[in-house]
Amino acid sequence: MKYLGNYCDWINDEWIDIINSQPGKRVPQEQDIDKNDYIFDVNNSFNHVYYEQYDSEYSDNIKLTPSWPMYSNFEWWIVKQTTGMLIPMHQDEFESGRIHKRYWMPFQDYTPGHIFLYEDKLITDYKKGDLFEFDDNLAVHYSGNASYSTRIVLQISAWEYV
Amino acid sequence: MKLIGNYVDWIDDKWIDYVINNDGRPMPDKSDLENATETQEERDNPLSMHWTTGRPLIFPTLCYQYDIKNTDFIIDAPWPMATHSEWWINKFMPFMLGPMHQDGSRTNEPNVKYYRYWMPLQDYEQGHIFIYEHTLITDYKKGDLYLYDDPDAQHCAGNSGWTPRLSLNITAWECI
Repeated sequence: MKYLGNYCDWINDEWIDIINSQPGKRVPQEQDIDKNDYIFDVNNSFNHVYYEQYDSEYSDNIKLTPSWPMYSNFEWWIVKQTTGMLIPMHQDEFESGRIHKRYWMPFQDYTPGHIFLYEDKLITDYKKGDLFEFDDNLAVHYSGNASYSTRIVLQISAWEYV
Repeated sequence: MKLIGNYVDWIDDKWIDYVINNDGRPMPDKSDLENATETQEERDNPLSMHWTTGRPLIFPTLCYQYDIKNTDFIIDAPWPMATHSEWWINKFMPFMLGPMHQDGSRTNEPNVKYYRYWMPLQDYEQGHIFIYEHTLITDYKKGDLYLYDDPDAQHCAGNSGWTPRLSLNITAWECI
């Protein structure tokens, strides 16, 4: 993870109020789950939520225009994880014919139990608004919340066509 | 976390078979939850609270636990240890995550010195979570024995991988 700078002043606290007060889109959606998936073996029902998502389609009240230099095409989504939520480890998938950059920005200072694991490293000691870029777009990563406070992080995928 | 040594040859694979193939005690224990009452200290500092009581009602099952009461084997550690000890094995299935916590309640007892040991029962796999303070423990081998530098250290465990995660935990203590 490459640290690019702090953009705390760019964050609109109204976004955080909206995220904290309104439910996001549950991920995964039930229709996206393979009914033969191990998740069903474990839980016997569809009851595991990786995170709640807020994005440009789902959240009309959050208008987000990055202020840092970036590829001209991008999509963003905000991840909210309440206590106990856990995303399985994964690699992001990218469309061919593009070059991508992946960004990660916490909307809070680091809290013990707020888990973001990039490769095998726990990311800690960050501040609200710190902007990181993935060194490797295909890095294995996952996140979770083992604390008693809600975890909120902005994700951006930016690209140029080649 | 201090690595004490490796005891892979001491591990009886029957323990692992038993844990893989039998249901453990779902944690937090429902009876603990029903009887739980928060103390003022717990209200002031949730992380001081043992995770089997009270607040983790918001969690589903955090892990399955095995100990002398629900297994058909006895674990007798071969390494030098304090005079008293208790052991338990935790099984975290995929998507299970326990909260950051301290094992602290007992360590508040005066004139008693506590030791906390942790031993993975598998080699490290990505997605298998054991966080001690602010560090993910990785690159361990089955049977590695770790001693907490601080028996009250915050830690948590979980499983973001696709295979069950098994670990042996031991608390030992002696009067001083």
